[in-house]
Amino acid sequence: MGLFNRQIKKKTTNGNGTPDGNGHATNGHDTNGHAPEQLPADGETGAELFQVKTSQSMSERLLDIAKDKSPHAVKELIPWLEKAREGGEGRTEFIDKTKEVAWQQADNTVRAVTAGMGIADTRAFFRGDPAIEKPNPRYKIHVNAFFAHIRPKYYEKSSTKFSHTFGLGYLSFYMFMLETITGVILMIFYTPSDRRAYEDIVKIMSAIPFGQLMRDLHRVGAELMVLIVVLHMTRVFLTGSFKPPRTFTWLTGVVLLILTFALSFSGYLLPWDQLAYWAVTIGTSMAKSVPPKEIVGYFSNLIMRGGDTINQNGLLRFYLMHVFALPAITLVLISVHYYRVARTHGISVPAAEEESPDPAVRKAAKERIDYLPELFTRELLWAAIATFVVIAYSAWVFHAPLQEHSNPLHTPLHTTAPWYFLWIQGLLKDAFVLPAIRALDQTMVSIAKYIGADMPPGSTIIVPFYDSPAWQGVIIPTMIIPALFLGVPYINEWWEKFWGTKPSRQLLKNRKGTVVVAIISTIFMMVIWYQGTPFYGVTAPPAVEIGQTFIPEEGVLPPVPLVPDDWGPVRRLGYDGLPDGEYVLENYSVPKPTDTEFDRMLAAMQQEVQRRAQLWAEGDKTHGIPNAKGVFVVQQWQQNGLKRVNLEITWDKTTPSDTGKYDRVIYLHKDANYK
Amino acid sequence: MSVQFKILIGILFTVATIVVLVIYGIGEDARMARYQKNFAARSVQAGAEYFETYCITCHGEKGEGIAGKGPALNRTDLLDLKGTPYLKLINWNGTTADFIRNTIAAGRPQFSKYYENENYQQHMPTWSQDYGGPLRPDQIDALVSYVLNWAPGENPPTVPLVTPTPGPTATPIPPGEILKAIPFPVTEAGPGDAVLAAGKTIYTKNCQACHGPELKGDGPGAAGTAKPPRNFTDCTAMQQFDLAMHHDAVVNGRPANGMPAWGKKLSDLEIWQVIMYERSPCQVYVPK
Repeated sequence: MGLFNRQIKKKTTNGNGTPDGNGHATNGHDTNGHAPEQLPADGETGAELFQVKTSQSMSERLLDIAKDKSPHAVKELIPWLEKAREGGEGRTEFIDKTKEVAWQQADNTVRAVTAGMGIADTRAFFRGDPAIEKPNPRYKIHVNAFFAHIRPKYYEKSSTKFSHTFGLGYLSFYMFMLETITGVILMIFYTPSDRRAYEDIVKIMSAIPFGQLMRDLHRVGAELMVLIVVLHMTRVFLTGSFKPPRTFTWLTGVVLLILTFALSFSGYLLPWDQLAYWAVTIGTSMAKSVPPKEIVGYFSNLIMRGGDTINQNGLLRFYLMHVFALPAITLVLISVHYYRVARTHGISVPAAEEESPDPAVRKAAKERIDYLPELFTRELLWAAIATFVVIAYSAWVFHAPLQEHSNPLHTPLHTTAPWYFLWIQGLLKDAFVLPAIRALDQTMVSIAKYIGADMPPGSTIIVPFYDSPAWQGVIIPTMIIPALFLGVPYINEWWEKFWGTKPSRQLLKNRKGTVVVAIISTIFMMVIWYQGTPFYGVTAPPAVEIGQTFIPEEGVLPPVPLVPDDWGPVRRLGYDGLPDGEYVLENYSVPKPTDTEFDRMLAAMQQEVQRRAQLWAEGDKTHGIPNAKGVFVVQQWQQNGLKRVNLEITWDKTTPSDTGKYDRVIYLHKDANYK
Repeated sequence: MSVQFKILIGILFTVATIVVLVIYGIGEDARMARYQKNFAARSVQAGAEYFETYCITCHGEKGEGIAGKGPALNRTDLLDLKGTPYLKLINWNGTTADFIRNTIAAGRPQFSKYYENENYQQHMPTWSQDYGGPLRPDQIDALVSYVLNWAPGENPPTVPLVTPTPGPTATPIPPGEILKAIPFPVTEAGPGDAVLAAGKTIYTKNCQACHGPELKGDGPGAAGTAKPPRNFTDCTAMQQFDLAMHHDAVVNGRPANGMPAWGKKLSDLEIWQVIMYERSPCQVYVPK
């Protein structure tokens, strides 16, 4: 009966013991797993198995076939079946044996699926009970299964505290996966061509079910990814987790931060609308200033844009960077970064606990907490919550902006870089270095004059040699900031050696200098970030600014992430909210209780016009308008629901070349919705 | 948090996500329809802006046509989508939208027989970048939707559609009167720095795209025009370029070359300021 020697590999310890009294099942039991397959004896061929022996009854024939052809588990039941046919005790035994075999079959299947845990252990796993079998089958999963294999078997308990890490590293990777999935779906419907791209985005929004949701998710994920990666880095800095042995991990993290920016920025161009075109034009124009301009600046600009301006070539390059090159590099670096964390040094334990004078605290902090199932279920929970949040937010709160088709001939007013690059745009306005250089220059001129050099008024010595875009747009951001970040662990190490301080990660206790540096650099970043917004140092003519406030050229994106764009009060009122007529704004300076929303908007316009007139009267020639007056005109332009809206500002001419008039004209269709 | 509790909350959030997706999915058809409508509306709006820039010189402010320059577009015989006698007359088998798109994109190499009795100064030029014009495909589509928006819609029009009426022809300024027409004093030395500065501002905003930042006719838009834009630093050519001709070119445009008409977009003063700025590289301010 060698054919029956096949034995179930594992036995559980929950009551299903070995079969009693019957030698068949346990004969040839092989602790290493399956017994070798028994082949038919020599001379026997497969065909012979089907030969009908006429002397047999039907049931005997079936039994013979069952003996030869059934799965091993069923074959194992055959002796019991034969016994059961004799009746009596044998029937109950047969039923019991069948249950046992079925259980073991199910158990084996579960073991295969879970890569090591039987039914009982799986149950314990999901109940959060300790493992039943020894050795712990949960650790076996870490050996057998790929995704569990790349995770550690256990963590140090304190390093998993939420208030220590806030799960930011995990969330960064979650966002990367979200971007990959939504991105691949969007790729199906997108063509990287200057003729098709915008049209395809409109199609994604208007003709593909869930297309808008995918695009919104992709956008929300991108903004969150930048935000979370920056926060993750801040956390690591503040908890001192960049210090040895984690220096190399920090370096890969800095590269990942730069890659995150690059991924987000390269995706910015793809919708091919005005926002995309001009934000990327600003961003890439910095490359032009890389010194020496004639070689590096010229060629880096040419390589990025594929031409003098961004066109089809540039779009294709950005597309390939966005969907292929950068994600591939990022994936590799994420792997390196994660491998260090998982295999080399683990997540840091809170410094206060690690450096505690109390050995009990130190020991408690390093207590083990298993990945399976404690942290695994925690991660799944985080993924479920994050998925809910991004989907609900994209469904009802935030919609990715889409402006008009890109137009290389028209720069929209107050174009800005994306919010996370505003600080570079702020640097480009050069509020600190240029004044300092000018002051230094004036001092040098005075000294030269004193010595007796011929210095006519307006002479400069060093200002002409100072290249503001190169320094502020390129050298400072790309050398100082990443170099500083890359150098942080090494500067820190050197600093500690220099002063002979004992290395410590406790922020408030032992790293007071770091706190000061962190506060100062945060304030500095906030200031230059503010300077990057249109609120600082950009002045269009004041009348144009009034037009921009009420009827912006495109939807205005606030300089912060995850806030929808705003098309201004006139478009928000829309076709139905704007009655035809010519409205002299002066008549709306006194609010009335019967005012409609439209009247209140006219009153707001009048207020703004008056404020500008007042500013001029007070002597502010940059922001004020002499004797400004406004008229708001709404005309029915086409019978099929098109109105022409004109905000006309007039003022006293101050010079013969002054036009004394500014018109902001838009058309509004009855179906256009800007709410 | 116990494992079971985490699993429970996780399942609740997953179910909540599915509920959100189902609710979103139920409204998806309506949302797509709304978006399509919204986009069509924005296309008409954009078309109206392009029409104001490129078309009103010949076809009139509201598409009513200008005698001697261009036919009316706001016409029942063209846009009444049930009848379209015009399209039948010329044996056009496509849609009205296709007809208009083709006409804008490729222009009219010869005058239509339909207008035999009218005397137009010039042919409809090619506007598509494919045929050497300045407009991108999306701009032409926007113009088509704007022109089609004159067609009677769901609601019957309360005002009858405009039929072509002979309008006043723009009278060119006689060469002798040209200096009197300029709203500020000009000598051979020029109109003064204030005018040139104002002209530069207007130039930067409106003209630089094609005529280039240094007035050399090499702006990024130059690639799309039928004829290269004028190079204002070419003094031999500028000597030949009469002031009155310059004024006419700015006011009425040279649609065949890709130069838009600025008469409706800029005031008379602004036009003269920008002309003076454009003539400043060669100092040809007054006629010799």
